[in-house]
Amino acid sequence: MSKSSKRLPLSITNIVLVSTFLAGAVVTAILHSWLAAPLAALGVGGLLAALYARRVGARDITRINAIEYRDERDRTLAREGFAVVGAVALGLTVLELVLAVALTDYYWIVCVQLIILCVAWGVANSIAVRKG
Amino acid sequence: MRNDVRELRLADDKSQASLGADLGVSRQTINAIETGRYDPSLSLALKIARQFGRTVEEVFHVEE
Repeated sequence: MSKSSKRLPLSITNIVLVSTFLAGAVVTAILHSWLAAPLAALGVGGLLAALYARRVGARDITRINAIEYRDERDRTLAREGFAVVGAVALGLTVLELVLAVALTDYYWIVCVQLIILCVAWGVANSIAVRKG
Repeated sequence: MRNDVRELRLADDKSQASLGADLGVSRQTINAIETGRYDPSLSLALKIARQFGRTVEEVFHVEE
């Protein structure tokens, strides 16, 4: 059985992520929400980061942070990073549950959680690349 | 796990980047294997050994 050597311009994960962000930007723009601009920025930013990570000679940490894995080591290191994100997410979700019960307006908690998870992901990727 | 990838690569007068390109992996992966920071999968170890016309046991050595 032969396997096609033709690569997609982006990884499937990035195609889904960029499409979701851009679709979200369109929907929120129609609803006149301020979220449209940040979502569009994240979509375009993600697209540019993925294309930058895709080029020949890109650093391993660049590829892993952009979810553009080139080989088995990239995928192994990415798994380590996402494992840390999962562990941090479990702890944060418990905290979020407690705060959601105690507070009526917890919109900001979800935003803080997202930021903490993104930072945890970047740090975990960086440590995984240094170790392996 | 120790290995002789660096010695075999230099004997073939290849750069890490060109060996990586031959094997379909990144330069950083070859570097991580050579410095012992990353143990390749069985399939990649087989590809590396075949690249140099050796067996896996001749290229990779388990430290007792």
